[in-house]
Formats: sequence, structure tokens, C-alpha cells
Amino acid sequence: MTGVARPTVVVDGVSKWFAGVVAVSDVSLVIEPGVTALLGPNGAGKTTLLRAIGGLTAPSQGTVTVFGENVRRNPGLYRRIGYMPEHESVYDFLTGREFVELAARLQGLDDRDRAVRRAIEIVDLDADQDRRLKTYSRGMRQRTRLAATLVHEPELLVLDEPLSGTDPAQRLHLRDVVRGLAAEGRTILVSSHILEEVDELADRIHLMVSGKLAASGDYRAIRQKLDDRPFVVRVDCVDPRRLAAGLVGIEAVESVEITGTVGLRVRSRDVASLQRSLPVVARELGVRLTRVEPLDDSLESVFEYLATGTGA
Amino acid sequence: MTAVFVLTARQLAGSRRLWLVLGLVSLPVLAAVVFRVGDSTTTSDRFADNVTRTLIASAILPLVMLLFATSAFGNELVDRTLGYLALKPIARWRIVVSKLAAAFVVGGVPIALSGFVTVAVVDGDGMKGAAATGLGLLAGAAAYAALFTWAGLVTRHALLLGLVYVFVWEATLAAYLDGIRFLSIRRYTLSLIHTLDGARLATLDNPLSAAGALVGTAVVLAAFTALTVRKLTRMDVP
Repeated sequence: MTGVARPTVVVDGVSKWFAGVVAVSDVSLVIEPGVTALLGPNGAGKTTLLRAIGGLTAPSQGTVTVFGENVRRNPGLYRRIGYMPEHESVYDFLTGREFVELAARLQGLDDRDRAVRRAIEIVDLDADQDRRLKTYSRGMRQRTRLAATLVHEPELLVLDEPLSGTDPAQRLHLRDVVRGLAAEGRTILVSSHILEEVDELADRIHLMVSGKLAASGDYRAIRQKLDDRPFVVRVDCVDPRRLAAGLVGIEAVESVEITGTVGLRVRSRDVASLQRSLPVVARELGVRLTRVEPLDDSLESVFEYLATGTGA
Repeated sequence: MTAVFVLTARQLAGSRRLWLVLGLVSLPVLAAVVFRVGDSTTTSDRFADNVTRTLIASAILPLVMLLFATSAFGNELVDRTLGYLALKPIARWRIVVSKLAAAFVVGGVPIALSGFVTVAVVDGDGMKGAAATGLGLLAGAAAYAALFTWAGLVTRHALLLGLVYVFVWEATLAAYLDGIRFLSIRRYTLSLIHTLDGARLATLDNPLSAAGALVGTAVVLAAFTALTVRKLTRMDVP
């Protein structure tokens, strides 16, 4: 490892499709030392892209190079790569220690005992290492899989949803582990579908939506884009036409759509202001509100907005 | 390589399958013991040949190898643990050879021992026939292991494919089409036993020559091992 930032992973125009379904579409990005997060909703293509980077799947189009080499049909490169898949399957009949030991053996490590001990210590599994994996909780399995992934001290760590299934305390611990490994100069690529999860973890974020790269930047840049997006709020009331006429006069309101005899869809970029103004306008007009509900607060709609500029 | 072998052997032997297999391989031995203590009119040679031919080589050997060899990769494809091997700096051929060897040892060795003990119990005059049976079954187990390990990697319906091969191709079609003996692991196995001890399976119709049976076994072993390596190298690992 060197202190000089250089691309560890280069993804160039990668697409992947399965039987006519496009999972990843023309994605190009560069991953450098430090922690990079691949963020996106479920089904965005994150795992497929990570699998292409890890050499588990061949891109339908484009190229992936890791440390300047093609990772497919190049098993020797796995001495420098640690890859933790998304799914939680493990060899249930092994103990936690045996699982990490297996990874060390398969890596051909000379000082296996030391490496295994160190990896187990890092993920804080010392006390439970001799129990069979089938008795482990989901979080413990995650930590064991992480230990097996980093037992050979790889320069590149690819972690697919590493915080999934962990409790808050474990999450904090794993975050510290990842940050610590990054501080040693390693390249760490993590995927997540939760923006807040990668806060304080990743130096850079690549946002994927519908198989495409929607945005790239640090946490603040992505957060800013989220805050700037318009919200759509459903408002049910006894006289929607009268209320709509009143709402269009409010600066915070971008548009109002009457959706039926009792409903409105109000689009605004300043939700706080809308929250304050809506009851005031309704009271002034003598309109009784029966329901106020954000329509597009789901993560998917947020990602959709960032990808296409249009929300729900 | 040893790590993959040990892991696979533990996977295969650690399940209920092992008990089923132990039960199956005990059957011929049990039959042999009953024959010895009983008052049968059948000659010992004929009984040993019948058990070897109809029970061990035609049913137990292919079924046990089908069960173990299709699981060598099949289990890891189903539970998605194959990535733990594929993401390591190990040549693909080493993974394949280790898994094949594990299926052969866990499945083939008990069957060969069963055949050896069965013939030794029935025909107590010498060990030649028993040794020939054991060695022939070992060769057959290796060929079946290669074929079914490949099947377990290329299709989710490997068990069905294997059953069709064993009971339709080798058993039914072979009765009508004599040429199938050149493409039948069962015939290679029986012919090898006959070659190693001419007194065994003397009633076998058109046995293959020693060279034919050996070459057939070697070709199946090499070809399906190579196909498995090729598949593992090119496939998307789940």
C-alpha cells in the first residue's frame, strides 16, 4: 500500500443484463483508497456492480479492472481483495473460528493462527468463536463473515451491505473497524440503501438508481440534493377547490392538483413553511382538513428524484 | 487444496445422507452373511456375481455417487456459499479436483469396501475376486463422480438427469442397443472386474476388453473433469 491516492478499481462503461432485464446500465466510476459507498434503493444494481468488481459475474459490456488487472479468471488477484457478499449464507456446521480459519487456509497464509486471532479480535468475536455458526445471530454472522473477509489483510475490501442485520452498537463498532482499516491506506467499497448509514463512514458516495449512476459526491453534497427536492403532500378536506385557491398564493407551494372530491396533491420545496401555512390558510377559508400525508417520503422516491428529477 | 477437500467431505458426510449411504452399502454385506449362514442351492460364484451385478454395480454404486457427487457443487450453488471458494486465490481446477476427490472418497470408498467384503464373505477361497470387485467399483465410482459432479454444477436438475442416465440409458436402453456398452460406466465397471479376475462375472454378455474399459473410464473421468473446470471458470458465481 502507498499513501498516494491511485485508482484501485476502474469501472468503465459497465452494463449487465439478464434475459433482457438491465441490472446495470453504462456505469463508469473510479474507486480510490479510503471508504467509498455505493448507495441506492433495493434493486438499483449495487450488488450486480459489486459482483462485477469482485469478478463473480462478467459484465455484458464494458470493463472492470482492479489494481490495473482484469479480475475475471485471475484468481491470484484475490490475495489483494476481500469480498463480503450480501447474502448471509455460511457453512453452518463450522464454528466461527473454523470459518475464519478456512478463509486463512484458502488464502494460503503462513501465520494462520496470528491472522485468525487478529481478525476475530477486530470484529470482537473472541467470546463466541468456538460456537457453531448455526447458533449465531444475524449480526454475529455478519461479523464472522467480515473477519473471514479481512483475515488476509487485503488492500481492497468490497463489503455488500455490511451493516445489514446489526444492532446499533454493532453498527458503531463495525463503522469504527471500517474507518480504522481505511486509515491504514486500504480501499474500502461498501454498499448500502440507507443514506444515514454511510454518514461518517464514507468519504465518497456513488448513488445508483435503476442501474444507473445518479449522483456522486460526499455525504453533504448528496444530503443537499435530497433536501432540495420537492415534496408532494396529500391533503384531504371538505372543500378542495377553495383550499387549492388559497394554497396557490403561498410562496412555498409550487403547484396544487385537485385529485377528487376531497383530495389535493400539493407540491412544495419548503416543507417546513408549508407545514406552518397550511393550517392557517385552511382556518382562514373555513375548510376542515381531514388528512395530511407526505406522498413521496420513501427512499425510493428520493432516489428516483435524484436520478430523473421527478418525484412521485 | 486440502482445505477444499476437507470442507467438501465434511459437507457431504455431515448430513443424513451418510446414514442412508451406510444403510445402502450394508445391504450387500448383509445379503452375503445371510447367504453364508443359510442353506442356499445357488453356488457362491453365482451369488457373488448376481449381487455385484444387479445390486452393487447397477443400483448402489450409481445412486450413492449420484447423491454425493451432485451435492459437491450443488449444495453450494443452492445455499450460495460457492463464492467463499471462488473468491480465493485458488485455481479453478484445484477446486474441482478437490471436490471430485471428496465425493469419490466419501461415496466411492464405502461402496468399494462393501463390494470387497461382500465377495470375500460369499467366496472365502481367496481374495482375488474380492480385490477385483473392490478395484472395479473404485474405478466406476471415480467415473460416476466426475459425471455427476459436472451435472451438479451445470443444472439444478442434476438428480433427475442422473436418474435418467442410470435407469434409462444404462439399464433400459442398454438391453436393446448393444453399442451402449461403450458409453456406459456400469459396463466399464463390470468389465474391469471381469478383466481383473476372469472367474468373476463370467456370464457377462460382450464384456469390454481391459483396454476398452480402462480407456472408457479414463475418458469419462478426464472429459467431465475438464468440462467442470471450464464451467466453473466461465460461470457467474451466485
